[in-house]
Amino acid sequence: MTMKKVISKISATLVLSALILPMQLRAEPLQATVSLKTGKVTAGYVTGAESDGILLSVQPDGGGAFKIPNEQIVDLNMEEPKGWAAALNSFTAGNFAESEKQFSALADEFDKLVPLKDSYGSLARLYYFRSLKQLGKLTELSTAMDKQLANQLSLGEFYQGYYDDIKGWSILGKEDWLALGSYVQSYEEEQLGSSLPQKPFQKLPESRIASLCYLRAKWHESKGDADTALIDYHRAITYDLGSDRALRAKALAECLRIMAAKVEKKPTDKALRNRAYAVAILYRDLAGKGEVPETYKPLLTKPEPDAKPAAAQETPVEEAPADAPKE
Amino acid sequence: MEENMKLMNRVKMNSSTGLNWLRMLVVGVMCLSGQTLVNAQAPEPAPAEEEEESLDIQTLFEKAGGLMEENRWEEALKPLGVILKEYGPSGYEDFGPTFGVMHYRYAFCLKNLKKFEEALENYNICYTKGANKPDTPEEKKNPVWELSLLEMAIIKQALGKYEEALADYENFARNPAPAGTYDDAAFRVQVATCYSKAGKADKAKQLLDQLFAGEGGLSPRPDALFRGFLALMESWTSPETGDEETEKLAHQFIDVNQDRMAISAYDMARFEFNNRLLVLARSASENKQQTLAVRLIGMMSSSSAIVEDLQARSVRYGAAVPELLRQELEKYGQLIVADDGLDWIARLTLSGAYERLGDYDAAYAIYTHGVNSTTKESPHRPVLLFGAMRTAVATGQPVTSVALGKQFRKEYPDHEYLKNVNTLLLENLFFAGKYDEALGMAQEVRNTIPEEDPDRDLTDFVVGASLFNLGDIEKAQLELESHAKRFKDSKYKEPVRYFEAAALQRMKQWEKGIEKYESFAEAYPDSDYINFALLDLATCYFQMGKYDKCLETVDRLQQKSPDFSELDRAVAMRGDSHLMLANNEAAEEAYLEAKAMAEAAGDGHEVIVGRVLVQLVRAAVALKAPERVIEYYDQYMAKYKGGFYDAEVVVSSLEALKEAGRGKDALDALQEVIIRLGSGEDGTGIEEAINSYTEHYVQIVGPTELLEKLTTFVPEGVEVNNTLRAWLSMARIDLLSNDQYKDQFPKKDAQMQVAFEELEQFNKDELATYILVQVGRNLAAKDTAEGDAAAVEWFKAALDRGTSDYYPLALMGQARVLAKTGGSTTFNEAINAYDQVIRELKDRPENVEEAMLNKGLLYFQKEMWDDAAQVFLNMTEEKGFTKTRAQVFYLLGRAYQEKGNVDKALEAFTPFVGPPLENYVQYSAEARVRAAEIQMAKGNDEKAFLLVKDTVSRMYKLDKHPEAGPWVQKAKDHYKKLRDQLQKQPDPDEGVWGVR
Repeated sequence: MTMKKVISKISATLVLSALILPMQLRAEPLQATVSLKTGKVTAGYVTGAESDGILLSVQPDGGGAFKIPNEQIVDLNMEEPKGWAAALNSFTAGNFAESEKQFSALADEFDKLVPLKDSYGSLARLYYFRSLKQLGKLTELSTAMDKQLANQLSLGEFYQGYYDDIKGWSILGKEDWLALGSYVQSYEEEQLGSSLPQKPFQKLPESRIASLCYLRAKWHESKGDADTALIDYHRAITYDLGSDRALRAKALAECLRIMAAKVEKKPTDKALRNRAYAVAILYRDLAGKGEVPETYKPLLTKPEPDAKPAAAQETPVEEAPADAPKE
Repeated sequence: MEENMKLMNRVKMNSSTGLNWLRMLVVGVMCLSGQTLVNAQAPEPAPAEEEEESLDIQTLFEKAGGLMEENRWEEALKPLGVILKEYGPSGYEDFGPTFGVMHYRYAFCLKNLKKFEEALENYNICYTKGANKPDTPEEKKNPVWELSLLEMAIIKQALGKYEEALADYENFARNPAPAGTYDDAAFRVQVATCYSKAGKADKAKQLLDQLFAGEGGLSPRPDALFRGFLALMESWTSPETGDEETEKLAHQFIDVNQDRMAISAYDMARFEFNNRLLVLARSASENKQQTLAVRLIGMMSSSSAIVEDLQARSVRYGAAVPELLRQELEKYGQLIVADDGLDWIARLTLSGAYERLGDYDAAYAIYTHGVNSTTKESPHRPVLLFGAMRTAVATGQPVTSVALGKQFRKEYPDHEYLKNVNTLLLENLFFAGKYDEALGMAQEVRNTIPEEDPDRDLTDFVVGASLFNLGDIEKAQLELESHAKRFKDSKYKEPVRYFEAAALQRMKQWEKGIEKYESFAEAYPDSDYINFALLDLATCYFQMGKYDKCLETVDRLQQKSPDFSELDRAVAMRGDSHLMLANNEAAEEAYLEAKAMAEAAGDGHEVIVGRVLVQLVRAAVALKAPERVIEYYDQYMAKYKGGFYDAEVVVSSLEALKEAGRGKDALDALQEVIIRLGSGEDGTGIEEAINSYTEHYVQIVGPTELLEKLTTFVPEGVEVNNTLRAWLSMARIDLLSNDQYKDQFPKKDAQMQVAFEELEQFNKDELATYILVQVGRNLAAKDTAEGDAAAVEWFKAALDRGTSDYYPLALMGQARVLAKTGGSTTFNEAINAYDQVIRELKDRPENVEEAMLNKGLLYFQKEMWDDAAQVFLNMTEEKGFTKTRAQVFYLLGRAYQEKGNVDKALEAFTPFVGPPLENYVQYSAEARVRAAEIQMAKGNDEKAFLLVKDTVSRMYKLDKHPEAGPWVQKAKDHYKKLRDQLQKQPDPDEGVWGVR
């Protein structure tokens, strides 16, 4: 059974022998039409859902709701809740502060629909989680997701992908590095005969891989491997053409921090300073609205070009110390 | 007239109906130029009219309308053309400005047929002849008068006449068409675009800012805004106006407005925005606006994002996903895995922008993504592999770069990039320190290239420099020298010249090294190698004994590079030079400076501190400053004990420590060092350490205690190598054989024999040459056949190691043994052995003298008189051979005499008549008698008498001498006989002489 978010008028009188149940939904019940295996189309108001069926009422106030078992339903068209489109627009436009509030309210409102797969209840909560992720409120995300364990979201394959993604961010919110390592490694793929030191990720939407790269970078950093982390942060910036602005900004900030630390250790390394300069102006233009944090401003000065050939950059093999003279 | 009026009313009616048409026409025009000015509205169908005569204006007008509705522009032109022909000449007079509708329609059709100039002409007629005047009656007003101006502007813009188009737009803006007849927001976007195209980006931005801000109540759709944004970007990324400042403006604009133009991923593709963004990003990147390029690519939606968007849409449909949506899903799903789709072009543009910017990490991320996800058939894979390889180097991953280079060579052995890959791979291998691999590959690659080909530059450099780093210095030097001659303008000239000089230095060709380093330093004063070159140059000068030049070079280095990481080594060398020049105070000062530098440098410089402390001990010893000797010794032992210099520092400090009453402590420390040295695989340093230990132990503790100590030197349970065990035995022998202590070791011979027997048990390879020779000599001294045979083996083992301090001893020892063993084979071996000594030890005349004598004796014993005489005669010509001179003349005389050459014999014996040889009585008594006998044989009795008388008078007391006695007696007999025979007066002393 799947749910369609298409409005449809109640077109038939419900003639069902289902159990009459009290109203479940706090919010105004959503209009819906249900196509049954028998060929009948039933219209009514969805007042709630359980793991094995939906609760439907013929009354707009949701009174006298009855349960239709999932196995009897072929198709379900449900009215889009008020405020859904606005919340979705906020999210799509990248206004995550707003979408967090809007989806939080919707999720509470349609909490009773959570057991229904891809219902507005589950999806509102999912978008709320995603908003928290985008805002970087990872501790809050962890808490919220833990809380949701009591009423687990019911998602189809498509939305489950998003949920799997934010699970990783929730782990990051707890700074449970061991769990984070297990999480990212579970998405890695063995590639025999590869010339590259790092494993690629499995075939997933690129936005997911970008996210996984950021999480893996964090894990590497927790192990003290800043060099590998730097590469993964850059993967997070470049995967999916770098289209996730929030992720890109976060990853660039991390790159900037790592590069600054490297430059501090090797202030005369021109090649390193050039790389740091590139990251600094990327941060300034793509994430910092023309600014970089005060600490990193020195990185915005480009080092003088080095005219030396590449071959001369290396330190020659050291000779043994001169023999001690004889007296 | 009435008819005309009727007609006009109908026309008017239809023209008002046609207003909707006009709206649609405008939409069509806008669509033609890629812009949408008004929201799409379904055109109202023209009312069904009865068929009129073909010249009826109403009929013609409606017919044209119907055809236009069906996009049949060519056909529509016909009825409209009839109208213009039949009614046109007086159309505006007859119908007033409203007749402009006909020209408008005609122009519209022409425009759709891309006949822009004609269209423009007809729009212009509509606009000029059909102009509404203030007094134009309402029913005669041209409803499309203002719109015709807008149409003209759009066509002019499409024709690239931006200034003219802008003038029309501005006129239109001053006197716009009635609201609702066009889309004001779209109009502004269109004008902004035109401003942008005309290079007036500031005006374009101003317009778009107003639009994005929603000024005037306008609320354009995001896609319209996006179009305006793209137009603006076209200007800001163009070569004419695009610069750093416009890049900054672009970022600011996007920062402020990006949310307002958020469009779904699928719409981005559907409206062709992705393509346009990609073009803009490429322009930006070529225009050095790299962060803008990155940002524009980031605004694109990937196929993956489009599929996600479409999946989200399809989820809403449940099982009933529309067919069109399914098709789109399939299409973009295929694009995700396509090797040559837009995604990869975008990624490559992105990586290019990152690389140009200098963010090689980001470019590496993209290239490696490609390496992981493209197939070998992908047209982009070679670029991706090579890019990954290139950026791996730039991000400090030489090992990965090398692996990628190898993968490239394997996958694309004939690719056009192969040359570049080889170059980079070779450089990587070499600079990553993988000299074996670099050498192998360079040799492989260069085998296919003629020697003088410029492509041999890199390969030959890598071959030479790799050989150098692999320690095959002589070959390296030849390669580098050849490279320097053939590739005078080489990119690698600088390192080649440095390595060439370094090779000469390693080959200890100090003088040539100096020449090359001086020339390098002059040619490349700012080279990255210059510090090492100057350090090496100073070393060469030091090794040549040119200490002043060494000091000058160190000063030069320190002045040039006070922060050079290896300066401590150079300053230590300054100390060495001063020490060699006996400037001990300056030496100590330099060593202290070097020590401070090395300590500050930390990790990796401990060995310098240790060595400098050893030198400081030496300098302090030379300065007779035992307190400082002890100070440096204590510093060394506190921090640097356990290193290469342990033995040396303890040994050098022993005197001072002994004076300070710490001799025993020092000996204990030395014992510890010796045991440690003896625990290693080889025995380096043990000999010197043991010698020093025994020398000082004897002085501090005593010889008998030393003998005891040497027996129990290694604590129980400690495993040491045979080198140390052998040296301990040898030290016991040396002590026991020292005459100074002979009284303290009454059983020394037996004890020595025990020690020698211990040594004989060792594998010869484990023993020092000195020990080999000593064991050999001991065996030879036994004077037994077995001993001699064994002795030769020990001597040979020593000789096989080549020249050493003990080589002559071994050589002589071997020859002696061979000489005494007899037999023809051994005789020849013995002669050869002596010849070897004579040939190889020319700088040791005492050995040569002995060897020649023994060689002559061998011939003598074999009665090979000529050979013997030749050897002895040669010896008489060597003035330095004083030790055996008497014996040699005696033997020479004997050899001649035996051969029958009595004159030569007489000549050889003659020197014994006077000093100094007459004093060698063991030879002179016999020689004199033999000379006398020769004279007697020749009949020269007088001469013989004088000689025997002189002999008797000088040697009469020696008649009991073991060698001279018999010959003195014989002389007495000859004396008496000749005296009587020649009737000489008896000498008064004859009684004394015992011949009376």
